[in-house]
Amino acid sequence: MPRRPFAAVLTTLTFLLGVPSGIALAAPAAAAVAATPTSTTPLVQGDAGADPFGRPAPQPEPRTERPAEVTPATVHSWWSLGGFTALVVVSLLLTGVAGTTLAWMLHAWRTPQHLEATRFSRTPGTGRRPRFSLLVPARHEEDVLGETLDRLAAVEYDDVEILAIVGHDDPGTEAVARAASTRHPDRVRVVVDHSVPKNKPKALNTALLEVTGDVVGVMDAEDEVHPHLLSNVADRFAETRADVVQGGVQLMNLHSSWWSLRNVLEYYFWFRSRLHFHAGAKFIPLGGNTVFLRTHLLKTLDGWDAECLAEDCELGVRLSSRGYSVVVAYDPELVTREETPPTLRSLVKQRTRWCQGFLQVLRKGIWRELPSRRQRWLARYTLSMPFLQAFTGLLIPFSIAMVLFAKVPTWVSLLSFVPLVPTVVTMAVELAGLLEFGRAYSVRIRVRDVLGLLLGTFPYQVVLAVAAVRAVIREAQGDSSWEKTEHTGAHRTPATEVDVRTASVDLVTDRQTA
Amino acid sequence: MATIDRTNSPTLAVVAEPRLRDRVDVRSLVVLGVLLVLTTALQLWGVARSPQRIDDEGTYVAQAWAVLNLGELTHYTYWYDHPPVGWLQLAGFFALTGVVEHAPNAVVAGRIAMVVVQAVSVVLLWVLTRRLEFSRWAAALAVVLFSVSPLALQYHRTVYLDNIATPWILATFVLLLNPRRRLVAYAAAGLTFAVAVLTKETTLLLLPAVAWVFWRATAGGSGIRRYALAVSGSVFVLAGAFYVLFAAVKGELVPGPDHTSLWEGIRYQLGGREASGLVWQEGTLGNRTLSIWLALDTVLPVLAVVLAPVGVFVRRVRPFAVGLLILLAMLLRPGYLPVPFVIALLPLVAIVTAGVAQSAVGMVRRKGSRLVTGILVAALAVGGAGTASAAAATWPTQLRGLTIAPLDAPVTDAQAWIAQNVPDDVRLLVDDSLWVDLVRAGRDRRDVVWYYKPDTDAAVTSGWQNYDWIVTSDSVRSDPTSFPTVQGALANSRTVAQFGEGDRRVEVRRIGATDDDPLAAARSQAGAALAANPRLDLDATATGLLQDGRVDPRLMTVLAGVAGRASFTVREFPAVPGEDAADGLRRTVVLDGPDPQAVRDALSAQRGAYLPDSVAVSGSQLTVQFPIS
Repeated sequence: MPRRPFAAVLTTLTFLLGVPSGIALAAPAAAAVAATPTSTTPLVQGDAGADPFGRPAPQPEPRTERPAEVTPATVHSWWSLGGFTALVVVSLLLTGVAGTTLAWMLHAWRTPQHLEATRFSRTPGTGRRPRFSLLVPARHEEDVLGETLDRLAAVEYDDVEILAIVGHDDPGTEAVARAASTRHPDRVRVVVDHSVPKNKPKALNTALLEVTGDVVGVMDAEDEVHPHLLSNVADRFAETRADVVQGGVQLMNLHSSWWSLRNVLEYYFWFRSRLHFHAGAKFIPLGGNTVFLRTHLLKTLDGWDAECLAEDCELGVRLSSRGYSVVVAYDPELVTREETPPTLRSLVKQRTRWCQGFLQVLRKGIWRELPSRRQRWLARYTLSMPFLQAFTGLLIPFSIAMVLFAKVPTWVSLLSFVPLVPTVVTMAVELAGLLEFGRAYSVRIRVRDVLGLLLGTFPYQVVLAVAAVRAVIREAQGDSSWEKTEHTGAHRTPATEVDVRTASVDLVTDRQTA
Repeated sequence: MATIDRTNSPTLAVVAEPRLRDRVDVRSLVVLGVLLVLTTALQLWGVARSPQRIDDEGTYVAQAWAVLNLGELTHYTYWYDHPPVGWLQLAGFFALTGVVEHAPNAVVAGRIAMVVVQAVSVVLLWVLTRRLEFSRWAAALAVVLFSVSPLALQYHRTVYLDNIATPWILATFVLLLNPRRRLVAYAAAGLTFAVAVLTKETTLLLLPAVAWVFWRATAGGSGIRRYALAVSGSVFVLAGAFYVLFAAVKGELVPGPDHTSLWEGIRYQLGGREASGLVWQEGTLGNRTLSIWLALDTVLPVLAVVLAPVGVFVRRVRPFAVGLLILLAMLLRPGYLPVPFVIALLPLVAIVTAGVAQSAVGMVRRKGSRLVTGILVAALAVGGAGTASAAAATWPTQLRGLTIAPLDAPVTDAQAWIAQNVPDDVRLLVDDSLWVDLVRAGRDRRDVVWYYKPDTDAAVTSGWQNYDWIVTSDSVRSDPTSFPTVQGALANSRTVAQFGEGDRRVEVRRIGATDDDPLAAARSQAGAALAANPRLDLDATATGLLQDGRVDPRLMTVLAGVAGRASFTVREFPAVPGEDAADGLRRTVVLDGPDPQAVRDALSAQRGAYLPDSVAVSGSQLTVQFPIS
């Protein structure tokens, strides 16, 4: 809308030529120009920038267009959003599982005081010395039983009785046991178990009826026991007034194979650190060896569960749910020394048995009687751990592979690598543990061992995952039969092997192959 | 089944948690509280005024702002010169507090973040010195040296990544010295050190000091050291690995066409930068940096150089003295010396000085041999008196400059001038300290270009012809030859407004105009003629301005037209601040006369160049202003 311009368009002053002010009025209602022009150059109407001499206004240089606005990546479809969410959630869960495992693995080293507390006390106690009854169940252990009983009889403790439990159908072992009993009449007795079918908990329950000691200890037929073990255990009972003392068990054959090295370290961290956490948290899956329980307590609890594949764990859960206190003590000198299963297959079978046993305990539900909610969740978590750990180990590389090959936002990619953090830290801790093991037990750690440790991380997870899957399948099929493990030659066997249901299946380990 | 009551269950007495040894001590808290209030107040006083905003500050603030508002890691292509953790923390602070909305400008918002960071650092320094078993006065001395020295105050105020890294490195030391020797504290120390290094990579130079403190803290043969090293070492390495992973996931790990790379960023920082030359050689960049430091404060540098070797013999502070020596040795290299390098030295100097003083006093108190005691007393007296008097003599002037002097006025004024006078749709080359404010004021982010980028970033248009204005500051002018676009812009532009003087001046220049002024004579003549106009009543100043040709031709034209209507008094031709210094023409006039409303209506009806920017009437006065030409 044209407006009434004041003096219309003010034309360009011919100041460019030094002419004094004169305004030309282009529209109606022009005002008179008062200035005196001193030049006759015509005033040019037009835009500023036009030259009275007609030179065109300088054109601006041609300019590069500014770069287009970069819009961020486009919206993802619902599928991919769901995929990202799943990836993020899975990564967080994996980190949680790996992280808690790491934290519990390091429990003993939380502070120097904690570390001291995991050992037996240095100063000998002066409290009352209880009478020990050591139960040594044996089946087809003619070669090692005699020596073991001799060593037990030679232990430096006054008030101890040793009950060697043999099956009524096992004359060889019975003969060895009787011979040992003859050699040490005041210490060694033989108890014959007539139950059918045979298994370890039944043997132990049979012997429990004949026990005369205040404290019952369970040992394996081929264990190497330290002479001072019992006095230290007695001191522990006196100091803490605990109901159960779990001593340390340590596999020793580090160099046999890559997986035996990992197995050894597993035991090391379990008995050195993790079990102490469980003892403190009042939920503990006990070991079946070098464990000492007050007799009256055992009798109140009616001994071991004859139906469970992991009867030691089951007993521990029952103890925890009743509120009894368990104390764990680990000293490199005083541990009970053992060896790993001889072959990878036997390891898998052993682990299958453990996993299945844990599942059975989980299903049995005694843990529901634990007093606090926190303990119940800890029970659920611990009993499911073998499965969680196995699958964690498998899923981490999988999620990383997915991230590398699929197109995901940067932060989702980075988040999916977070589970690697506790995993790598665990490997560093395992390396530290390996070196410490070497120092504690005077074993040489070679570069090969270190490499085996690091490179064997993932394969070992695969082994454990296979065992976990087998356990689930067997439990689902209702098959809780005993799996025979192959053995070659006379050497040590794993501590907790239980034989259930199948008639004439051999206990513990069998030197005959299936 | 009976459940035995185990509420008093026997646990091992040894495991029972010991009471905290360093229980909360009221006196310590009071002293710390007082120190904290004083140092924070000192840092806040004048935070917006002094020192002048610099390019680096603007860059970090702009990057933090870009994270929050543009969803990108930086406002330009991220080229891995520094890991982003530093400005991510700054962005977190901005998001939490919203300080950018309320601060006078974006860099001040960043400086307020620095005040908070410094407060945290003060608390951590106190805790660290107390864990080193310093007495309260020694800890207070350390805090005072760390906060009140003008060198410290200026550099702590400035938005540098080194400042953000300082609390993390102090936290690392604090965690390593935790009294109960907790494994989780060592693990956390690995993490905090990693964050410090990812905030400012030069923190890695403190690794020997950190490792030494770690070694000392984990001594004892209890087996803790092995596991502490495993956990903290792996956490530290993993955190660093995540940065590499980040680059790898984005496909920017190794050099290639069309993208920046981590490799090149590292190479640039390690070798690609221009050497600063030896610090003691006149004229080198290093010498200039060192003289800036020494000009602010000589007390701390002298203390550093004198006491670092002494501190090596004092067991309490030995690792810190060694760390300090390593950093001082870095100063002697002829390679690149970053200006904020001094920030890493400050806490170490504070700790070493206070530690040496405390140890000396302790030795005197213990009254050993007369000779040694005598020497120590003399040294303490001389050193203490000398330091105190040097501080009393030199600090107040510098502190006054840092608290009261309006050193940032040139930039603030330039920013205000640009907001008022430079159109919104033109393309500007600016110093980064103005970037966020200009963009927040409504300009397109592609129109406001950091001067550093046209020649170094392929995504940014280069060539001075593509820009309309350039705002220069000391950083823009300091290195003309590296940036052809800037060089061309400077050569082909004319200052339209100038604020401040000397090196600190800020010039707003319009590109395309040149310095020569062919119309000066013409303006003089026109002005003289206008001054002779009987309808206009001018005073001597106004007449002088007109006759000198200092008045804008459009304004003269309009006045001539106004004079055609009636008689007016020209009150003055006020100067717009900054334009006079740039020899700008006066484009504002204040008139007094009858019927200003009609004049206003008439003026508002003009077209083209003769349309004034603003015509304001108040009473009988009329203020007319034309836009910058």
